[in-house]
Amino acid sequence: MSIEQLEDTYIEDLKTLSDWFLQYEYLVRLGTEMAHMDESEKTEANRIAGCQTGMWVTIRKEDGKMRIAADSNALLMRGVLAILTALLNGRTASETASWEPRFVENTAIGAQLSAERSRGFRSAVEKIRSFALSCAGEQ
Amino acid sequence: MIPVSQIRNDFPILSDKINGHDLVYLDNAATTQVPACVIRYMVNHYSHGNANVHRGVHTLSSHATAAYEKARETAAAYIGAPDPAHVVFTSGTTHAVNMTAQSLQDAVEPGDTVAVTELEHHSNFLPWKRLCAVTGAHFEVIPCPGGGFSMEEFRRTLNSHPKIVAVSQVSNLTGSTPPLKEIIEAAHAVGTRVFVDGAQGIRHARRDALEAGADFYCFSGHKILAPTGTGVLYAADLSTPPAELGGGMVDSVTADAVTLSPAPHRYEAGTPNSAGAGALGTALQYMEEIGPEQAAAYEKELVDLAAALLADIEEITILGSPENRRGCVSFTVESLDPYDVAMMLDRQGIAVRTGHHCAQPALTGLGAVSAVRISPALYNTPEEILFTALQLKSAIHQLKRWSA
Repeated sequence: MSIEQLEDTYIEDLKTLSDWFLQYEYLVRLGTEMAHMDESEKTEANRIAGCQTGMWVTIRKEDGKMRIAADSNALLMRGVLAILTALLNGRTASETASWEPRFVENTAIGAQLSAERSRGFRSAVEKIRSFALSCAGEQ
Repeated sequence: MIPVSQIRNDFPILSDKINGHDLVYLDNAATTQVPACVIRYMVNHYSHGNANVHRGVHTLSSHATAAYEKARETAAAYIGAPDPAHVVFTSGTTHAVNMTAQSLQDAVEPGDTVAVTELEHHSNFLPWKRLCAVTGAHFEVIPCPGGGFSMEEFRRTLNSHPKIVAVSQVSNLTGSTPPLKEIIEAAHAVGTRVFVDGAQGIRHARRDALEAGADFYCFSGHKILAPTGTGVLYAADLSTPPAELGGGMVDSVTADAVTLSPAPHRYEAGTPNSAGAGALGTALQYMEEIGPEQAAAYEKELVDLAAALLADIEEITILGSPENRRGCVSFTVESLDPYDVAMMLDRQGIAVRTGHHCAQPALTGLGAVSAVRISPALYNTPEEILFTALQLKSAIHQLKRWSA
């Protein structure tokens, strides 16, 4: 399944959940299922700037695939990051570099994230994409 | 006090719906809502009274100037300043602190000390830190153990005879209220000037700072029912040079010499926000009608109620335990991020602040990086506080259940 196709399933899920309460529950549960990042990896270098309560992303390339881990102190944000990592983990650099995220803006999540968190999310995506672009450039 | 139901009718925004619910606005430490009389003032100013002040001989300019100076008199009377010449209009607290710190550059020398308390918000912290960086003075942060002001720590700092100390009248984080009279007496005894930041204090004890003999006092209009971009700086000593230069603050200018206008105009370079100043005067008059002391006592009842209800929620830790809490109560929630809690409250129409409250050193001192803050104002009701506590309990319960 392509990133876009997988992303469609999340968008579909979120659109099926008619009210904010169910959407929150969905996101919090997704976030709860996501593994926590090792404390030693929550460094300043891995921190996404501008996010008050902390949000971290690590990316590396392994056997030609992207390996992405993310974490946040906030449960809702962890839910968003859980979708992000589920979409991008194990993808190739070129697949990742050409992906345009839709699951935040095209669903209720967009309206529910504060401006600050939305910026944090976009910074995380940018960080992953620029890493992917530099990897794709090497190939 | 006038019944709160009647006061609420004066604030159009309070009948708005947020996310389908009645707005419960409990973020008044960040900004207060604006009554209809202030909105009408703004509309009327721009519809019928707009002109530059102190500039023209034409009728409209005279009217605008008179309204602007009347607002200054109102503000002076409100804080207990004997002479309006000591009252300078600013764009707010941040502007006032920056202006003052900058104007003291020549008065501070290398080796001098400038002190602030650990509880200061960034606006009353960073400009003083910069003053030290520019002048080579020593920047001292007075510890506030447990989020409260410590007279003992303060006296220890006074041993180095600081040129100036900056202290908030009410902490925007813990709601603690330093003893201004004692502070200013002790400081003046060693020749230290005191800058009192009244951003949070103005609604709670409007005349305390000047009565206690503060050298400087400032507040923001938007924390006392006026529009954003307005504020007041009171300066006891008018020999301080102006920080900003420009039109409207000089009597004569040649290439060689400048004669400054008398105070307060010498401290108001450029075209002032006269519409805002007039609106601030209107807001203060509105407060006078309500009764500032009665309003402050009512606000205290609300914030004490909030603190008591929060103390009963097992997962909640209240930051600081001030004896005389004013304005706000901040707290953390066990194993939950303030952001998640506030998002759940927002869905019910409840507006609270989350984050570091622009007071990172103070938060760090209390062992937190982020907190939720509830700050009621005179138009809030005990029912709103009860509703918020109930919704908070339910949000914590839901989030815990979902993340179990």
